[in-house]
Order: sequence, then structure tokens, then C-alpha cells
Amino acid sequence: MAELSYYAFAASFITLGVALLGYLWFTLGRQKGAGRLATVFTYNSAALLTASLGARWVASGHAPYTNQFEFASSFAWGTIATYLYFEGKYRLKGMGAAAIGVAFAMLIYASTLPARIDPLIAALQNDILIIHVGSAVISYGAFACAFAAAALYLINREDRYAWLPPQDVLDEIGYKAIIIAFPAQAMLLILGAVWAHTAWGRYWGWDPKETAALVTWLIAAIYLHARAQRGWHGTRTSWILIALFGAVLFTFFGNYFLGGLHTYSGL
Amino acid sequence: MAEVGATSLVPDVPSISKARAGSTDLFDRLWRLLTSVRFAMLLIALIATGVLAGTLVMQAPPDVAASPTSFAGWLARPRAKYGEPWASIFGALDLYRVFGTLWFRGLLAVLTLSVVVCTVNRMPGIITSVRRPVVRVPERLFERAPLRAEFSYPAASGISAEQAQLQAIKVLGTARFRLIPWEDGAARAVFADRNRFGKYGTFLNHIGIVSILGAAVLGGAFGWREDGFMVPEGSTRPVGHGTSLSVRSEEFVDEYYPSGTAKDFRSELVVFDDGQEVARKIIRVNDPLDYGGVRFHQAFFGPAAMMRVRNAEGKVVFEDGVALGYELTGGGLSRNGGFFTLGKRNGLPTLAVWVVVPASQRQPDADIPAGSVRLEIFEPRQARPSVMETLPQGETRELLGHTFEFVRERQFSGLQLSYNPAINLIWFACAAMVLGTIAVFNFPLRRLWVRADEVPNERSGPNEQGAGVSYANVRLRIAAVTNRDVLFAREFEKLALSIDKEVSRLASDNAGTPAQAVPVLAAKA
Repeated sequence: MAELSYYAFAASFITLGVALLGYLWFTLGRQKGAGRLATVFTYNSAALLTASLGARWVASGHAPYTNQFEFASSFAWGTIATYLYFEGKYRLKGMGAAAIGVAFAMLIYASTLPARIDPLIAALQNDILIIHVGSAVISYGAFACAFAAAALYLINREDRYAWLPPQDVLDEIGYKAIIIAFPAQAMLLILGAVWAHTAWGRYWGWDPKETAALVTWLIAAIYLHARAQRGWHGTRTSWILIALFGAVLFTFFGNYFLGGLHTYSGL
Repeated sequence: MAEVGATSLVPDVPSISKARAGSTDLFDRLWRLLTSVRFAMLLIALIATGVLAGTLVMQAPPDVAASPTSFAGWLARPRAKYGEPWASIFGALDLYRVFGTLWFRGLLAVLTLSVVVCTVNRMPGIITSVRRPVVRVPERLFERAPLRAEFSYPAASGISAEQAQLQAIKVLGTARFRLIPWEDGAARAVFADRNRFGKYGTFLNHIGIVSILGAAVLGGAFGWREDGFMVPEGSTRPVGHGTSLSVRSEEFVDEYYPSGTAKDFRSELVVFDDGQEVARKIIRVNDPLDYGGVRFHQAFFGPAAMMRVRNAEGKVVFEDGVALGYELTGGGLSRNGGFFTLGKRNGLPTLAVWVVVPASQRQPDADIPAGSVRLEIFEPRQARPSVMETLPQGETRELLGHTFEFVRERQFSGLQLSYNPAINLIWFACAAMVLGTIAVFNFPLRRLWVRADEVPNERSGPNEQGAGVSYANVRLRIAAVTNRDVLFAREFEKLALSIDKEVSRLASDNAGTPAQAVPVLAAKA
């Protein structure tokens, strides 16, 4: 099972790389066929990554959310899944290069990490782990898509590039992604609080990773309020989405420099 | 054309803020500031910045931050880490205890106030608009609304205003809208809304957030916690904090994976209330014991020594485990220790006995061979121990009029004790917050108005009675007031086009030829 997990990861990695090239060719070379190819490869990559994570789950007997390799893979998985949802819903491939680019970068990062399967340490032996980190996978994936949409929105000012999706569609995708991510991020924080209450008798401890996740949620709250404000909708809200993804990355890579109670999920 | 019904085009604008808009009274200005969404955004941004600072800059532990002397001593750490001038700048900004500072708590308090004021301000207007929506809107709404569509059907199509209205009702009903038909002279109109209760989600969400902050204050005021509560195996310790509880550790077990990482820690605990056993459980890191809201969490563990002391008459004056939970460093050695006291004179103990062992078996300690403890006995008001003695397991020593015996090594269970009477409020508030968010964004209030007018044929000129149905053009207009909602703009367009499709189909059935509908969709907001 562990072997299968490694092979499936490698296959998913290569497949996603091809998909990314396909999306780039679709966008920059304006090749429709490349776009179709990219979509097929992205679905395959998602299936392989699912198989890889599933095999790890079976091999280790616990959810694949316990070290940085597993979490980076899951983050990529969440990004691909959210992206495919939006691609299907809007029949839009123009965001693929940006969104799959983020997912591929996450897989490159994962491939540099030790991929060993560890037994579950005492502190993590709680089923809340599955939904706590599961919420993070959903919210981070959706934040990544919102980031891709916002970045393209800022590039495609006044719809000047016909080869990029129009601004109103990008704005809508960014908003929809946040509608998914915002409650998911709240669930992440709340389930963390439930877990902390179980483990330490306090629901909130200003742990660095916890506070970084709170900052992310607060920025998303600012985005949602800003959208309804005159003069904020559009360029400014897109910048908020960029900052939001910065906060997500800060939280994600915080294990390296933040310390605190989440360090057991480090390398 | 007479205008009927409402005087306001935008039913959601709260009337209070409008009424106060002109005033310069301090209270009114404050009220307007607190109801401003931009001000709330600024507050959230400031709080986010504060939280970020608290994440980036090292924070003093709460017990250190609470005591000025220990905090002053702790400041050496950031000085070593950041160097000057940064250490002093951070200190001046009070960034080492962000979450306890007055400015941070003040920001939270102002945000809470702002959320409360916003809610109170908007609630009456929103409740009214949900319960008694503006059904009859003036005709000019159809000319000015941010979202609008207009279609016209020629007289030849044989469409009447009533038929157009019925088609609109059919389409909107299929799209799960609630429908209220109305008439304005000869014109037939429909008010349609969907998810009107979704609007209340915003209250649920904001009440949830305020309740979380309120519950946090309540929990801080009426709850308590103790992080370093140590109970040696076989010993009983009073819980304190005004309770009549005590807790006994029957056994502590730690297990490891072959790689050396922790597999399991567990303590078997017994809780007594007034000396009566009331609860018993094997607790683990993720599985605490809860008795009447007082929770006992497995947190850490360490060595303990079972000690027995007899006085000069041979009577046992102390027989208990001593948790060696203090880390003692100095002279290049690292040791663990704990203490107990003996006797009592004028309310003060006559002797304080420290029991010390090496911190690690791997690090040999010349003074304390394996299997021994070292006793350091202090008399009142003495800075240095009067006696220091190494005591192997099972042996006794006569020291200062007492016989000390190191019975055996044991372990202690390190517990975290907590009591938070507001914890259930926290969970309810969290649920309200999330459910409110989901309601607002996934069941958004949708509201639109349809109006079908029979317009006399332009060539025949105006006709006071309204021309005969079959000779009039029908003008069908649809309008919606929205808060820059792209999702609704898209749906509005779809609904308008399918209403037109239905009316056109009917028209072509009537006339036997395709209708000449002229769609005019308004630009998106």
C-alpha cells in the first residue's frame, strides 16, 4: 500500500505537470485542443492523487493529515478539486494555468519533503483530526482558486486581453470560492477549538498557527464586507483576495518558523 | 401613470440612519460611526494586524505576562532573539503580550459594540422588509432599478397583460419564488421573493460572533484553569478553587513506538467529592474526565518519589508521593525536583524538604547515583539547605530529628484542570455563526418585480379607457434592486429570458407566427 501511494503520487505529479503545460498552451498559444487535453490530464491527476492519499490512509490506518508531505499533497488535492468544480460549472479553462500552477507548485514542494508514513502520535489520536484538517483542505483549496481568479482579474484590467476570462466572471468565481472557503475556515477554527477543549480544556490558546488561521478568516470577513461597499468592488477586493492567499501560505508554512502546538505536524 | 405603494425605491435602507444623517450631535456621530461598515472593516483590519503581530513576535506565557517581576525577567529572551533596538521597540508597543493588552481588548470591545449597534440599527428595517416587503412599487422603479429587463410584444400576437403576468408567475414559481400578484390600473404586476428568511442569517452570524466574545469574557470571569497540576501515583490532591473535590492518580502508563515517539499516555484517575468517590476514568490526551464541568486532562508526566517520614517518637508524619516536576538547572547539571513540608509552628512549616533526582538516566550525576534521591532540607527563613543527603531506595536516614525513608520510585500524572461554565454557550455561538454564514450566502434573499402594461398602439394614440386587449402592445418589464450581487445579476438575466420565452411561445401559439419580442436587458449593476 505504501509503495502504491508513492507511485500514484509520482504519476499524479507528472500528469499535473502535463496538464499545466496544456493550460499554458491553451491560454498563451490559444489552442482549444490543448485545453481539452489539460482538463483530461487534470482529472487523471486528481484521481491519482486521491488514490495516493487513500493508499496512505489504508497503509497507516489514519487520515493522511499528519505531516507536511501529506498536508501539502492534500492542499494540492483541494486546489485541484475546487478548480475542477469551477471549470465544470463555468465551462472555463482560462483560469487553469493559474490555479493548476498553484496546485503544481504545492506538489513540487511536497516532493521535496520526506514522504515516510508515521504512526499516529498520542496528541493526534482523535477523529476530529479528519474533519479539522479536512476543513483546511477545502478552505485552502478554495482560497487558492480565489487567488487565481483575483490575480487574473488584476491582469485582465478592463478586459484588455481576450485570451483571459472576462473580469465579471473572474470576480464571480472569486466570490463563490470565498463563499465556500469562509465557512470552511470557520469550521477549521471551531473544530480546532473543540479539539483543544478536549485535549487541554481550553478552546482557544493564541497558538501561533491558530492565530494565523484567525487572521485568514478575518481577512476573508473584510473581503465579504468590502464587496458590498461602493468603490471597493473589483480591484480592491481582488487585492484583498491576494492578501488572503498570502495569509493562507503564511499559516501553511508557519510550521517552519512559528512553533507552538502545531509543530508536531511539521516535518 | 399614478404611482402607488411605497415611496422608497430601496426597501432595505434602514430608516434610522437616514433620519440621523443630517445631525451633528456627538451621540449621533458616534452612532453613525458604529453603524458604518467601513469602520467595521477598519476594526477587523486592525484586529487582524494585532493578531498577526502576536503571531510573529514571541509572546510571554500568560502566567509570566500577569506578573510584572517575572515579565521583567522574561524580557531577556526577546532581547537575545531580536537584539536592540527592535526588542525595545516591540516592548514599547507592548507586542510581547498582544492578546492581553488594553489596546487589543479595546479593539475587540469596540468591534463588539459596532456589531451590536449595526445589528440593532438594521434589525427593524430588515424584519419589516422580510415580513412586509414592498409589494407594490412605483412604475419608475422599472426605469431606474440596477437590474431591469424589458420586452414588448406586438398587438398582433394577441398577448394580454394578464397572460404575460401568468407566464411570469409560472416561470418564477418553478424557480421557487413566493409570488404576490397585484394590479396597478390596467397593468398586471407580480412581486416575487425567495429565501426571505436567509436575510436573518446575518443576524444569526453576528449574534454568534458577539456571543463568542461574551462567552470568552464570562469564562474568564467565572471559570478557572490550572496547567501544572501534579498528582503522584497513589496520591490524592485537593482540586481547590472553591470545590470540595480531590483527585487521586491510581496509575500512570506511558508507551512508545519503536521510533521513540509517543504512542499513548494514560492515567487512571479517581475523583472524590467530600471524600466520596464520584468518578473514575482512565484519561488520555484526547479523552479527559469531566465531573460536573470540572475537567481533568492528561497533559504531561514525570518522576515521583514515594517518601515516608517519622518523627522522633517513631510516628509517621508524612507518607506520600512527591511529584518531581520542577526543572532545576545549574552547575552544568540538569535535575528534577519537588518538595514537601513538615510540621507547623505559628502557621509556618518547620521544615521544607526538597527531593531531587537527575533529569535523565543517560546523564550521570556524581552526587546522585541511579536509584537514589538527594534530600535538601531547609529550615525556616534559610536561603541554603541545612542538610543535604543522598538517600538510596529502601534506606532510611536520621536528619534534623526525623527519619526519612525513600520508599520507591513512581511517576506523577501532570494534569490540566479546567472549569469553564460558558463553554456550551461558545459551542452554540459557533454553530449560530456558521449556520448564519451558510444561510446568508447559500440562501440569499432574491426579490424582483414584474409588470405588464398594455400600451395602446402608437399610431392610434393614447386611449383613456385602454384600448381593446387584442389591439394593444404588451410591454413586460422586470426589475430588481440588488446590492452589487453578480450571482443574482446572472440569475436575473436567466429568469427574464425564460419569462420572455414563455410569453413568446404563447404569442406564437396565438398568432401562428413567431413573435417579435424585443429584449432590452439592462446593463449589470
